[in-house]
Amino acid sequence: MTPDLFVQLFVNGLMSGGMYALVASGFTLILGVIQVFNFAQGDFYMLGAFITFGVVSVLGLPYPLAILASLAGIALLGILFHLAVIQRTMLQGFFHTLLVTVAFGTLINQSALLSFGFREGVVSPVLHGTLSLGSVNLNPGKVVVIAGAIVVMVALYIFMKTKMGTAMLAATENRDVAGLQGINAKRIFWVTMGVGSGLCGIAGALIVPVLSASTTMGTNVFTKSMLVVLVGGTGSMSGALLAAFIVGLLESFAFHFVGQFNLLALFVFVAILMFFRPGGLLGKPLPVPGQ
Amino acid sequence: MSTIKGMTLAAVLVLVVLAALFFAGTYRVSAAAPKELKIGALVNLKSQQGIEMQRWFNLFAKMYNEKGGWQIGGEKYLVKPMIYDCGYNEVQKTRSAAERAVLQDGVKFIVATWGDVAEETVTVTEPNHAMWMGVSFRDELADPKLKYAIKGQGLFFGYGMGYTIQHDTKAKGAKTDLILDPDSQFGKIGTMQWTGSAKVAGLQVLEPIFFNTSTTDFGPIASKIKASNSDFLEMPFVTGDMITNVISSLKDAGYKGKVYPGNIDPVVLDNIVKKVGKEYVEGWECVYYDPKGVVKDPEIVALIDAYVKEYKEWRSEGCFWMSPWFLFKDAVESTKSVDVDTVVKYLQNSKKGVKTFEGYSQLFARPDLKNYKTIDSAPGCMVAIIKDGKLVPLKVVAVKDQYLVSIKAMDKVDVYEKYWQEYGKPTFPPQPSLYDFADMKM
Repeated sequence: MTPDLFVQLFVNGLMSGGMYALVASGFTLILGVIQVFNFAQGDFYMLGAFITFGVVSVLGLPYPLAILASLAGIALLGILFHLAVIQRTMLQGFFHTLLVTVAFGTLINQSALLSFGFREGVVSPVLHGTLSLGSVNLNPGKVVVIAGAIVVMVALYIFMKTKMGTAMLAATENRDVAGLQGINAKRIFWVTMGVGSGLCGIAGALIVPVLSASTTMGTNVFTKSMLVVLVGGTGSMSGALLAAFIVGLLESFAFHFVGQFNLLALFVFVAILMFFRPGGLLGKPLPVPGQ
Repeated sequence: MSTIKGMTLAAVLVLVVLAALFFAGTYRVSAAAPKELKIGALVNLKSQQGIEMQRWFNLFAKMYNEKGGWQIGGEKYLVKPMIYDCGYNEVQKTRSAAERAVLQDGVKFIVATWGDVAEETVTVTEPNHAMWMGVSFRDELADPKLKYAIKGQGLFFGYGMGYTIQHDTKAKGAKTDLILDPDSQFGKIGTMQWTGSAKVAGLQVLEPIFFNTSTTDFGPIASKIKASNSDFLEMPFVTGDMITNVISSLKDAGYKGKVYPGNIDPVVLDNIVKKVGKEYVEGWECVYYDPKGVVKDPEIVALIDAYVKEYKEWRSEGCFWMSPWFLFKDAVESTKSVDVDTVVKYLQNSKKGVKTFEGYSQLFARPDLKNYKTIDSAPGCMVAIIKDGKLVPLKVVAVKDQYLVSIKAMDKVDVYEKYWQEYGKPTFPPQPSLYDFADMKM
């Protein structure tokens, strides 16, 4: 492998990792705090991409505004979904909420299919030209995605140090004890849903100048995000971050060597890891539902 | 008393006259009422192709019915389109759609399909003497044991599409060819086909690259393509948003060769140009399915105009897949019959190409499968070139090229030559072609 090719594959891996980090962080946050397995996470990501497409390409507004719109729109959608549906079904148990998220994800996906059909939503690159590192050409959009993902993850880290973030982490550790210490669980839950969903909105907004928005884009990212959560450890934010880049890089390099079997290679890696570390790299196994 | 008797008699007479008039009227209506001709199609109604095919069938029916029906022989038939959702490659859904059509609704002609599992459909149509004339990329549907199956749209005689583009690209200096396709049944078939025609065109074909169908980031794939140093990249079955994303990634990776981007339309091209700029795609050739503004045949132009008038917009996604309809229409009008056996027999002994949205389509025999009836189609299609960020129609792929290049690419010249000696060489529609019988010896 030439150094040029190595750099290309490395940047590709980092970009995918950045996406997975954002979606998986939201996913693991919701799973850890509310104990809701949010199957709609990939669809939130897809919707975020289409919101960005709409704001930039249809309304002609600036891209930074589109990021904010996507973040706010998807966060609001997540909160409304929680207040209207999740909050009620949580009392019925883990599997009820899981099925409800499947239904909601399908609803979003089918609505998008009806609205956009099989057409893609294309946003012109935010930064034109190429970044040259010696003989290696890089898409500046990919660098923006990587940088954006890092900035968001740092912001999330800072947020988790605030009173609200600490309360959320406390709820992740032990909901009952957190409640006894005066933490308002209901509030924590909808905020968590808002933050977890909003991360998907940002991810969708960041990716759309590089990859076009399509109604199928959420499925792939969601599958990879689940792998990320498994590798990083359920409920672990730092684990999700680490695992996201591992999965992204592994996927990128594996394609060069095994072609279309790169996903198989990824699943084999996860299976081996699960054998030796069932709780993932940095996480603890979740309590078994119903116990 | 006599007055009452007289009134009763008069009332009875009036009733008798009214009844006689009523029955006479009814008899007249039933005698003049056109018969109904059900035309079935099994399509995936979740795809734009399926939706468009449904629109075309509805439009054809409306056009005939507004004139009082389709004049076939001495009778008029009201055309009733029967469209069934078969999903995409779904066995159960296909089966229930086919059973509903043939067994429940009594449809005798399945004239076009998109997305059905054809092997499943014919298990319903064959024993019930119903014709299936749909899309199939598999040889099973050309089995001589099948009596009512016609491959109205297939790829066996479709190698001329790739050949035409490869021939042109080679003339522009390309020597090596790399094929990129999704890791799916269609992707494998597309790669096999394009590889075959590239060899006939004299290109050196590199090891193809397949990718997982769930791929969204094509960066690693583009890096691998660039590392191959190929002069020409072909993406026969890359579809939808993947096309834009692959091309965008190719530019990022610094790929400088020519590209065949698959069958794109102006909307997809606009998206590509938005991402990579028009200079990057200049001079690329692609398969083009939109006949509007290209095909000059008055009958086809009238159909396109009627579509625009009816639906207040123009969409081309269904055009390519409607070719079987034109073969069917020709068979019905030539035989002046709606009898299944008569229509099928005509199609199985077809000697000419039929005008479609995409030029011509023609049915041929499959002697390589010992099927000497004309049951497999060489589809019409068009090629466009990208100039200044726009698709400019370049040429129609000749049926002759489709037929001859396919035979050569699949190394079946010997078996077909024997067939031609016995049955005579086929004649082709009057179209300019690139390939001839003499080239097959080379």
